[in-house]
Amino acid sequence: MRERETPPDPGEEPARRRISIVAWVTVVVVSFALGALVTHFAMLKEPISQYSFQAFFASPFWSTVSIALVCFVSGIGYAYIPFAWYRDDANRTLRTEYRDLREKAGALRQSVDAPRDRADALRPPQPARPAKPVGSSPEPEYAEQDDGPPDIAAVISEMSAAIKANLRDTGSTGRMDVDLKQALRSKPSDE
Amino acid sequence: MFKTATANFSTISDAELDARLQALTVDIAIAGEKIEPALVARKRSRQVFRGVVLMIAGLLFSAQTGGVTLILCVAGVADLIDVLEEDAAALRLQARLRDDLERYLGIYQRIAVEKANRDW
Repeated sequence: MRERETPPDPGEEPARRRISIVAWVTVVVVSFALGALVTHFAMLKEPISQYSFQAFFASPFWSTVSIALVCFVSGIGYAYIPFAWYRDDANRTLRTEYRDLREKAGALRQSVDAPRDRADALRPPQPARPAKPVGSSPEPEYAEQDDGPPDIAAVISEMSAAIKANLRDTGSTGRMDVDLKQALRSKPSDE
Repeated sequence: MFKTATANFSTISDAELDARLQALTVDIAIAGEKIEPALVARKRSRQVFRGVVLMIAGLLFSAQTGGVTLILCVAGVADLIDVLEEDAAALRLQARLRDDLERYLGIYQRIAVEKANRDW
């Protein structure tokens, strides 16, 4: 079964780059040392036990090689200077072109927004609400009329008065009055 | 952005065209901020100079020190390789930003032409 390929971790990239640099330098140094060793023994035909790094670095061979390497490295350094100029110029040009394009796009956007602003300016202004005095307490969103508990006796008396007024018209007021009073008297005792 | 690049602007509404113009402005601003600042490039130039100096010093003093100073060469080579890799990445980014700029320019021109056609 084939395993799914996972994307590389961004944190691994510097570590891999370091390892590749170290490997590259190691290979170069080892190959160079091997070449120098072979050249040394091929030219002098000496046994390996008599090999001396001091003698090798003092030899005319190393003098020539070191001067050649110094010239090569100096050439790299000199070649980098015009490359750096080119890179800076290219970045500067790119930045300028991006800025110009951004300004043009911004101007186009402003030309789109300008008629809307003019239309908003021509619209009649909304009447302003009277300002509240500073320090006044804010009104609650859902204010309740809190007048205390309702007076039940007053409500019942109003109801009985209304009923009596209605029954007076029909002629049975006395009897109904008695019944209502009895009901009012009997209700607290029942509760 | 690819949707904007391939869209037909003549069939979209004014509001959508305005929104795309705004998105284009934002994209341009974001891409413009990705351009490498000159400070970073100068730092890399200094690193190259340091690597060259280390390598030259290591090579020149290797005869007197019996090859011990070649360690400096290793450090100099590591510096140079590091800089070259970063430069390659910067050049790739520069090329990508150049391509993006051309694409943004094309989109901007199409929006401007469409805007002129609608006579805003």
